Amino acid sequence: MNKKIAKKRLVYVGHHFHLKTRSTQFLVEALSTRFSVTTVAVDPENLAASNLSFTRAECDVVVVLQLDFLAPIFIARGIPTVVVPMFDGSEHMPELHWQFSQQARFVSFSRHLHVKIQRAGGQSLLVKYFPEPEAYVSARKYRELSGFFWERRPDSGVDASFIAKLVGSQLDRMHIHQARDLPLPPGPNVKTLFGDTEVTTSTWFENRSELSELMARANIYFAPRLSEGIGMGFLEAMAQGMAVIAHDASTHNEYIANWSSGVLYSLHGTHELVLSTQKVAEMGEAARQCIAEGRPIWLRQIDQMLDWIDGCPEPDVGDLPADFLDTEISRAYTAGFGAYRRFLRRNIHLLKSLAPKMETVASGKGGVIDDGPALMPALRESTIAFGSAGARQYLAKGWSHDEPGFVWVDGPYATLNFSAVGDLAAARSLTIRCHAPPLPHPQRLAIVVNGAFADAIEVGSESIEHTIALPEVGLGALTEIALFAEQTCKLPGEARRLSVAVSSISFH
Amino acid sequence: MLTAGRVGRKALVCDPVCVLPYGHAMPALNHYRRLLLPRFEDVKCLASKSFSEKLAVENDFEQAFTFLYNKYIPVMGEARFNEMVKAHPAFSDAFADPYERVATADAVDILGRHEIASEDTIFMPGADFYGIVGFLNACAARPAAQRPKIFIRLIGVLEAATPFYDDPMGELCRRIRAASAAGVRLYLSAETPAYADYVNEQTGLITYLTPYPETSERLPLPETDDFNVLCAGSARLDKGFHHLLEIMQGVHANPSRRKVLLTTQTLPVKGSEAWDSYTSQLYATSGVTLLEPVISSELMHDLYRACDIVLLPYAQDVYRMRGSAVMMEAAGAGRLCLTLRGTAFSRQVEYYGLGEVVDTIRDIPDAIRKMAAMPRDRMQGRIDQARARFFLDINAAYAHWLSL
Repeated sequence: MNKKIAKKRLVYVGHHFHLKTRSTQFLVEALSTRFSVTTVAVDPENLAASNLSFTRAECDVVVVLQLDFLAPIFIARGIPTVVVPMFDGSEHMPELHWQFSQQARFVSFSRHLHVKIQRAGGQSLLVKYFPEPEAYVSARKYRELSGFFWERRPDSGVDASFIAKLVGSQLDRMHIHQARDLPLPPGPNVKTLFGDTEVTTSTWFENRSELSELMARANIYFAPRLSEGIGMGFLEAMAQGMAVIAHDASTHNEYIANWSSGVLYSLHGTHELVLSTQKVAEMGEAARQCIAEGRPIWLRQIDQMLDWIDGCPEPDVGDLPADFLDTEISRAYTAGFGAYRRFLRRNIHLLKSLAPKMETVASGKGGVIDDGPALMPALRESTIAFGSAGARQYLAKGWSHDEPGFVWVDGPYATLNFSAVGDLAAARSLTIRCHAPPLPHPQRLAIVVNGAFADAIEVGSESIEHTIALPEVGLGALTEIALFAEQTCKLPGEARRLSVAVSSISFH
Repeated sequence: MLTAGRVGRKALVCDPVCVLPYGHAMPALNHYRRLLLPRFEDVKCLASKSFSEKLAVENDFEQAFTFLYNKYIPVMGEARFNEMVKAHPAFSDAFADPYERVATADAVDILGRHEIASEDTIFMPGADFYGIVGFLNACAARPAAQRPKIFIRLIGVLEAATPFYDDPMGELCRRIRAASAAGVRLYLSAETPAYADYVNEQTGLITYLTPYPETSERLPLPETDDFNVLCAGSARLDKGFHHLLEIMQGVHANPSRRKVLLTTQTLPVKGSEAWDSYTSQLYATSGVTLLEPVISSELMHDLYRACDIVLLPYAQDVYRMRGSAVMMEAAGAGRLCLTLRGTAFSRQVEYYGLGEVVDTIRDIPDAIRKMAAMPRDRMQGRIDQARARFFLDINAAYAHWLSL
């Protein structure tokens, strides 16, 4: 008698937004081929409304999409846990964020994130999604240059004005879909930005086919965001044979070979691109071919991914405080990026149970956490370049997100923490490059090193360097640099209170 | 295979640098055990004390040498390494070369524990500074009747790996000369002709040529329409990882009839942050498959089976004297390689016809196209001819050298 083997029970915890837009439906469908899937939609702003109380007895494995911070909660309950992080959401997460989930397995759709997780000691499987190429129109009109841009996140810097700087009036036609992800004030009249290019706009589509029709008329697609988790929009454009023009970041730069199957630009210091119908046609064809070649590879990877999830081991729970993690990790996460980082650092002792395979400083064996006795990240280079992934580990309180080349202090006060390594500990002076937002009076910025007032400087709207002497004892092995600004300002459509934007700090 | 009769009682195949669970060192110990077994009553393999205990049991290796090369092969944190070395009873920071004392103590212990005598042999298949110095010191301290023969195979990797000398290679050659003059029976060989001549010049001792022995059967060329290029071995900048994007862009600029596919490993995850953007672009390039930095030997074997040629865009300065284990593995598997002129092993590639040699990276795409256009049976014939000549010479060289 044939006895049907019951499928493993898998709980899929996803962001309610993705589940609504069905942008990751392909993943649910793939999981359903092997597992009995129960979906839980989570709104990070209202976690209490989601039913996340399931236990090991109720599920065999949990897959957490994008909401990485939830993983330790399930690990503490002894549930095999697989995390599918998204680059655009988790790019700036500190090493501890990944180490708290070290007993989970990861599935990465971004190579950049994949190696970041591995660098933190996590186990990650790298996969690359490709949409179905046949589902899209491949014939393109190449006699003219016709662009499509969905202005989703103008606050990121990728807005119609920026696109106009990129292409000037080279295009014959340009369509701008002005449906923004956030309620932001309207920008300039886009019809005047592109010279004699024929510009059309839209704000709403009754159904998706209208969007598809518009895209089908274009042969250049401007990616709407600085980075992507997977990037369904630009991948569909590539599948349709469009030349995609996108910011040089993951996942754009993991699909687009620059000036071969699309164009990558840097938001900082970009100049006008020179496009021709022939080059656009070649890039569009290469893009379509990239998707066509990649699709069978992705289909083969699905099984590998399912095996990886299926084989996820049961975590070693030890003496983990499951109830504590249940409430506190979510509270810390929703309290903000800085609050979450501080929560992780304050609870680093939990790594003994959450990441039992990691060596800790306390064991005296060196190992993954080499940050020194106060768990401060080690600073080996003489310059901290703000706005880069490498600098983020040193930014403690009061900092906003990374922007190309600088980071704003959000509010009047911010701190940096690090342990200076080698000769740096004896540094005698500091050079800070910074600028201020438009303010009625010049900004005054006080710099305090290890609790001792070092100097106060005047900061204008132009980014310039200021060098100050450090206290006699130098930086020392453990350093906290605090910045106190006299004024803050709130720009229209801006939730932050900006005081000073720091580009770099060097020690001599 | 070596067919000469037994020449010794006991042989210790020693590699103090065999510490990683992957790479060439572990299989090399096994290969040389097989090579020496017909010639000795007993052959034992000795690896680093930091080698995996599980793998040591599986491979029947003895964990014998304190690992002194963490700066070059960082297998543990610096603090842990210092703690381990300082815990050695022979370590004392007061000496000019504190590691030498550790290495010598290890060698004395090994010779004593294995009751090594004059009819025995120490064989070092990939010799390192402290392995050599340790055994030379230990032998010099013994009466002549208890001194084994020492066969040292120099591969140009860790012979100069010491922080305590201004001219480490000069120091090593001076030690070798002195030990030989003092009656220690030393037999030298090197992996490439250029290196053998250099060592001879520095030591005054005849230095033979012993490339890596034949280790795998010839694999048939794949019957695929695509042309598969394998950039095999760990990805490193001195192995030309940073040239692969330019090479593939050159290939795509003028496509050949057979679509060219490139498979390569990626740089070690830690310490390669500056290459993330470059690697992303390589990942985005059509026809490129990126593998993890560390892969299993089974997968490596499958990759040799699946490829048409092996690409070795190695740095000419770094490999001026050095051989390439991958080139020799490729010859064993029956694959032609493509490399740059100026490396020591490129002379072997040219002399035996083991592949194509070009002058610059810019010449590589065109060479790939030419190799992709070569009829399969012609390529197979060329491989068979080159392989036969290469391994006949290698087998003869080992047979002669080990009979000394």
